[in-house]
Amino acid sequence: MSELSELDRAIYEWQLDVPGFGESGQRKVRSATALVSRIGGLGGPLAFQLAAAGIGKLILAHGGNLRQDDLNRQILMRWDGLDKPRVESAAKTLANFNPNVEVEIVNANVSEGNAADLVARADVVFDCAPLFEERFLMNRECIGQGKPLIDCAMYNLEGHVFPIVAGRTPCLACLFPETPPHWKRRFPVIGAVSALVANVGVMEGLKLLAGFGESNIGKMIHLDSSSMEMRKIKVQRRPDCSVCGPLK
Amino acid sequence: MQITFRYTSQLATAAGAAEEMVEVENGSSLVDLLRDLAAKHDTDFSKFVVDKDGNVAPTLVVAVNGSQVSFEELVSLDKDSEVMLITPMSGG
Ligand SMILES: [Zn+2]
Repeated sequence: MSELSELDRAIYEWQLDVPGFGESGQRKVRSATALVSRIGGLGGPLAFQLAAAGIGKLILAHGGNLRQDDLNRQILMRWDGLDKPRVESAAKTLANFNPNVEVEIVNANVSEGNAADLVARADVVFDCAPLFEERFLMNRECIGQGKPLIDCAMYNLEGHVFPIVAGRTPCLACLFPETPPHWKRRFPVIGAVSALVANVGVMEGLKLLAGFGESNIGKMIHLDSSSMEMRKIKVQRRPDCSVCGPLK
Repeated sequence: MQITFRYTSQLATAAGAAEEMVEVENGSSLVDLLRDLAAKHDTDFSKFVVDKDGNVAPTLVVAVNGSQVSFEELVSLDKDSEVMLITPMSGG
């Protein structure tokens, strides 16, 4: 693990004073690589906040061009990036914000062809993808490679964050053993809700990386911004889970 | 007795409310409870709870007082119990 530079100390001064986090937590975060699958309404603010926290490197995977109807929630994007790859907008925004965070962009969604390599190069993975096929693939890779996965999701005024650690917690396939038949790709959501869920996901990731606070691995944190209530649900492991069942 | 059922995401939209008081008989199994609940609602709601064969939908997560329960479990409820029915969400 590398030492903090003078520049690091200057940038992260306010959080170096957080009890339990401090210099050792910052060094762990600064030495870590995070993979963010999709940088839309969830993954965008999530990656932004990881950059602010001083993550060492971000790998951002998201295919396709920016559309007008992305702009109610995808705050890493830029108006001059419309009709151009979303990852390019994201890279420019992050470089303007803090050029001392390394950003690798992948103009493709997570797929069978790239998932193993992307997960292998990360210390922690944040899943913010809309399609359950992608989410299950990410889950399978993270369980197989023993990488922590922070599963983040939203709908309407609600969201949930489910931190998964291979061998220690249930996995996404324990929670949802098959593709939900009635889920629709296009769903209602307000950008502030996706950012709220994203920030909860970032905190769970930072706590795992830096070893401070109280981690919620194995629990689904459910947020309802309509009532502003938060509930934690202890998730059960499925002994016959097709993904994590073989792990002891 | 009356028990609070809490609904999330698409299920809450279908129910038109985030919670509902449901009359539950002492000693009823979770599967019977869910089937009764599905029968009381229209298909927009019930499709998230039971599949077309009448089995509990595999992607429905049920939690009682903050812990997920399996459908086979004998769950004892009292008047202060909260049953939460969670349907999937994703990113975007
Ligand atoms: Zn599993």
